[in-house]
Amino acid sequence: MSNQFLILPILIPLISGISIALLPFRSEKSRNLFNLTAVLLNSFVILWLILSRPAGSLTLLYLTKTLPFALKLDGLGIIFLGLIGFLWPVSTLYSFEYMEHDKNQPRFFSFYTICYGVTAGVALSANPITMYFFYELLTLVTVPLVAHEGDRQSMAAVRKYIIYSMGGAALSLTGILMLLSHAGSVEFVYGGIGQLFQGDSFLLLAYLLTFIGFGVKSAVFPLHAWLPAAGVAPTPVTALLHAVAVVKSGVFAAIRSTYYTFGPDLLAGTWAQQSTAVAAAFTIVFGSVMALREQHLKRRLAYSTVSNLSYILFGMSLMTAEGLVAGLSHMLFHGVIKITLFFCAGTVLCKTGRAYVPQTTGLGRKMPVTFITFLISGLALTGTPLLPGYISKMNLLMSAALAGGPFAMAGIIALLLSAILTAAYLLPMGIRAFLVTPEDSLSFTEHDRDPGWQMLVPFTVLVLTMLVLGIHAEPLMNALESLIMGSV
Amino acid sequence: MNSNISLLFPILFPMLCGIAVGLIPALKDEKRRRVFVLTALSISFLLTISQILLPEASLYVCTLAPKAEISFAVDAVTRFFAGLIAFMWLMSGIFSFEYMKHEKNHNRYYCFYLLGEGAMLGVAFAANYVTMYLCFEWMTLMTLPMVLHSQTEDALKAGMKYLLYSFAGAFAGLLGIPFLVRFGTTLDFIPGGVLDMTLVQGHETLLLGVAFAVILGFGAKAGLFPLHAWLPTAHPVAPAPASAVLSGVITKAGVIAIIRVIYYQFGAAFLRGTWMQTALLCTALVTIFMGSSMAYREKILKKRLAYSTVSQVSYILFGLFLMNTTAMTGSLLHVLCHSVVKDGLFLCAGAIIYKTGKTDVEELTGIGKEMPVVLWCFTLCALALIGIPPMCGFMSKWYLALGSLSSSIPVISWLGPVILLISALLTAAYLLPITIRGFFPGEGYNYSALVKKEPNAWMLLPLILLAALAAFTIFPQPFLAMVENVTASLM
Repeated sequence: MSNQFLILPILIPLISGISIALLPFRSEKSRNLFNLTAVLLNSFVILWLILSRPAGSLTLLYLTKTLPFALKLDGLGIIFLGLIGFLWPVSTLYSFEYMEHDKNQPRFFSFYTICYGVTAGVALSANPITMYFFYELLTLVTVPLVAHEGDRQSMAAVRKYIIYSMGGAALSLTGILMLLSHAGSVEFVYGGIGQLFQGDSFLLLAYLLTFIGFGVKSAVFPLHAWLPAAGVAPTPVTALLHAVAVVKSGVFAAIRSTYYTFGPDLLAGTWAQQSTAVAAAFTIVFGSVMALREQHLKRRLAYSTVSNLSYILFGMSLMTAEGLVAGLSHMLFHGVIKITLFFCAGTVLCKTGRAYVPQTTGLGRKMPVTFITFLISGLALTGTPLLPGYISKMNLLMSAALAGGPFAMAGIIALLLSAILTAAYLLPMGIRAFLVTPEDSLSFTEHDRDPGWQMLVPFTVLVLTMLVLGIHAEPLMNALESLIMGSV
Repeated sequence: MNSNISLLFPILFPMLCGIAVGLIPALKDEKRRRVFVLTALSISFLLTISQILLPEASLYVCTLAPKAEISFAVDAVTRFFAGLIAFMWLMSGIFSFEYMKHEKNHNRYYCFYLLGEGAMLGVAFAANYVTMYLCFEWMTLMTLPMVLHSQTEDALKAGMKYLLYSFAGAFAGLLGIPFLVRFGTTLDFIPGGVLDMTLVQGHETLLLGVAFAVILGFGAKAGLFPLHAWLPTAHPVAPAPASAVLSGVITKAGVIAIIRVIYYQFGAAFLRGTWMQTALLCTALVTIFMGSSMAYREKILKKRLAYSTVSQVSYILFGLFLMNTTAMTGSLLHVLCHSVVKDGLFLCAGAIIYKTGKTDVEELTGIGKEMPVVLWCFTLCALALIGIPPMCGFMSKWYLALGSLSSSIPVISWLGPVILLISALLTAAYLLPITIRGFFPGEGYNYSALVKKEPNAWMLLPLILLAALAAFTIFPQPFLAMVENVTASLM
């Protein structure tokens, strides 16, 4: 089959996103229907592409004589594309109920859908420059979403978001340019150019710049501050973009540059690898500690994301295929778990107006489905067996033990510390919601109840996914392994 | 070994019954619930016994992810612990029927009581590290609602402490898996251990460190220093029959896990004679002494018993860490003894609370006049725990002391028995005054106001049975035979 279809996952959301803003829809319902159909269609196209796996790359144009703007679908791309393809329809459905009283819905849904295409673009990029293009574009199209509320707080968050992201992207671009000037045009291939340039410290510097640049979106300390601030955006944005699409684009880009551009052969055992490992290990603990200290529920989850993104980066920094597979499994599982947690937080916020953790005391009896979902996802993120978080953490630990060395040991300790902290910042809240009767229990109103079907369906789908993944992740793990190893 | 689906019955049956109690509205009726729970517990007991009597079997259930298989098996350790677990659960369950009358949320209580039994049996039946870890974690979660039962602020704090300490311990325990995958041949439990010595070469210190962390981690459930602090907080806030299983049985989950880690994964041969063994023995001795002295100073009866658990379970661990046959025999005997006795003591405390509302040791003056049978049971259990011959504690401590003396570890070999002796004296000092003041209240006691408050048969039956068992070791042969069966497979 022709690989021209690779452009579809980018174009469909782009066109339908613009249509949502421009077409005169008769009612909210018909617009929602159009939106959901478009998103579902795109997910099916993605599914079809993944199943048929068009080989080779599709060059759309040349930016200069030697710089192609090209798309391709390889193992790593499939993993990321599969994740967003699964989560986007679920989140879109959730947003309908969340945003139902909002005035600027067309703008919101327009950009929300366009983001789908841009994120798919990141996943489908065939070389660093193309990826850089989509990466920058992703920052731009998410700006209106972060700024959605339009109040002072969101404007401040947007400013932070833009400065951090643009600054990071500039660093990455510097790194990429250094690479291109040194090694000529590069396409993403597993192993990268490492073997040709072993011990080249100019390239190591280029790598580190790239990593720091992409480290902004993947919220590595000290470049994380934009993420908790961006929690002012409506929850569907925080849940899908700031727990999955945007931040994982950062992680994805970091993996692309590590394994597919510079290559583990170049990096393994160097100071560049050690710096990434230390940064990741530190951020793992730092994010969890901050999450424990934070009382605002959405910001707590954002800090938890900071920590968990570094789990993935830590797996990546091991520079082994096992480490990468383990990191990627955490990318998938964390995506599913964190989006669920955010959905729960969002439902509480949107139905009851409660934003802080202590305010949720006793709320579990009023909103049992929401809080049971929260507890299950909390246990999953903590790493309880039979739920998916356990498997990815186990894989990370195993690959670190296999890699050995002081930095891997530091990472293992960081992972275990963070696991305990995760239990501490998620589970007591879930338990207090059920077992404690708050002093002002009369303040509950009839609005404090479980949401409607548009939110319950996403909950159910996500919890079922977690259970299935937790109990039977073997096929998925094997698939991940063959997707990565297959491209060796 | 034959693959046998019936291995799942003892684990799943109580869990399903637990879910039924939690969900089926018809079981909200007190009488029906009592019949149902009693039947469920008895059938679980019979199912477990039948697995113990049947020939060794194993069962592969499923694979969660590569290197994470779920499978169960029956071996000597399983046989030894599973019967004990199911029996203790039955005893405390029978006691609960009357006791729980003064608590609320009965269905939730029995739901998690049964779920906890299933998970605990899962720990005993687990055939590999991952399965054991899974059951271990879920047991923590399933028993948490028992600690939280009263829903007071105290209970919540205790519950959170329980949760976080247990999770911290479990995560340290998890550390073993990646390193065993790297340096071992399999995660299945194989007597003698699974380490591949050619791979281990040059990484001994790392592995000893990992084993140390793992054992301290699983030791959290057994109240081992330094992760012991949750136990005296969490056990007493649960309803008395739940405290009894928490203290008497669930602490033994830590013991099972440590036996598996030492004798079936890392291998005693690898750990024997290392700095790690000495460090572990020191931790156990510290815990023994600390637990006893804290119990001596504690005024609330149930808390005193919980501190006593901290101390007594470390007797068991001390024996395990010595890694010789005699000490091991002592350990396993003490598993039996402590389970029976501590269950009995907590149930006595529960009977007293239920009938009189008294929780403080000072208030118990003359209690033997009001509830003679209960206090007699208490006294028998106390004597057994102190180790007065010919009761059960005597035998186990005798073997522990012998095992310690026969080991060639400097200082510890004689310090161990000394600390055991001091702790036994402390045990006498914190338990016997209750009996003495209970039966001989002294001159100031107002006999005219005396009312008999003996509880009814539901409460007395398990008490008497447990006290009789504690004293029953006048005929130690069957127990010794059971224990030798296990040590033979370990050593």
